[in-house]
Amino acid sequence: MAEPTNSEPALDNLVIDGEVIPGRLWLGTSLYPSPSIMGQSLQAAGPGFVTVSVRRQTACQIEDNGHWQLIDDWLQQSGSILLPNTAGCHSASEAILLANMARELFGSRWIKLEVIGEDYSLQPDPFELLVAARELVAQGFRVLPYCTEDLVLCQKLLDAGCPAVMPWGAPIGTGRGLQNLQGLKTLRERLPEAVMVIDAGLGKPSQAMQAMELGFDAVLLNTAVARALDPVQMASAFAAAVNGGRQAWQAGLMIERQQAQASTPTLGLPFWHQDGKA
Amino acid sequence: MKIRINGEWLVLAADSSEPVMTLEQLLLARGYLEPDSSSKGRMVVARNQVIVSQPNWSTTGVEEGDSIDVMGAITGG
Repeated sequence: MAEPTNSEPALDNLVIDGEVIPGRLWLGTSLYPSPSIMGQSLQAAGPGFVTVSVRRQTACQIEDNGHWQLIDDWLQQSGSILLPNTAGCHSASEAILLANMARELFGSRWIKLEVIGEDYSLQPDPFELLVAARELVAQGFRVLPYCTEDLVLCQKLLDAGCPAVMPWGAPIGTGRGLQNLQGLKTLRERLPEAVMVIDAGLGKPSQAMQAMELGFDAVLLNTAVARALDPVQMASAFAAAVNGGRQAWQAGLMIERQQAQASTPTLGLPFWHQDGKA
Repeated sequence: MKIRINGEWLVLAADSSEPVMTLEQLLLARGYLEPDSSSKGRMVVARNQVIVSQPNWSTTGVEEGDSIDVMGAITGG
């Protein structure tokens, strides 16, 4: 049991592939009202990973890339880690090419692997995802795959050499929270040693806290912060929720009961055993 | 010579199967490089979906029908 102190209890380190990740809230960089608000939101969140992507650009865009400059400055000063993604890819071959472009561009082996199988829900394609993960691991990438909560898929991704898996909470950008709570609980229970991150679908800090209370190791989100009325304050709220949820997980949650059980002792009430019965 | 750059067709010179310029010359002409051939910003270049590292830009020829992609960092989730 932790020694009682008046200060904030320390969270345990998150380690992935031997590297300490400096935060359990991971944050995307899209959809903010301005680069400045994005920068302030990063400051408020203190994210472990910061996600970016790679796209075709004109010469003007390459020369005047204020968003990237701001992200790069933040990475230099904060210790947060860059996590390029393969968003928009629909096949293993597309994702492998984009991952290699990201590695060439950023000089990082980390990749958030996305292979979309269905455009309406942006549900990952498990088959192409696994093909891409195996190839990218073989090429030396540290692959963090965005996947569903399918237990067999997650196990195969881990077997392929992914140092963590990132099941969705709900479809990207919906803010619906943990849609398949039982499936996610089962996943956590069946793969207790795996690093697992809830990626996508979180809309409220309480949903992030719920994920952390279930024992997930981190959460990755973007829209819930970027589209808040006050993204900076929301980033701060998510950071507090994630830390609170992790503390709760570390502390050990009580076991739920069906029947009520009084927390105040009955012994000592003035009418206790006054009727002469045992 | 017609090539595609970032998905858009571009006419560079009369039809020819011989390379008429290097990748470096193309990038310079399209404004991606400073006059001293240094990059104006962080970017990665692919020719026909094969990445060409910066040291090889000056020795890689651009040929008829090539597809050149110039990619940079954007925000992402």
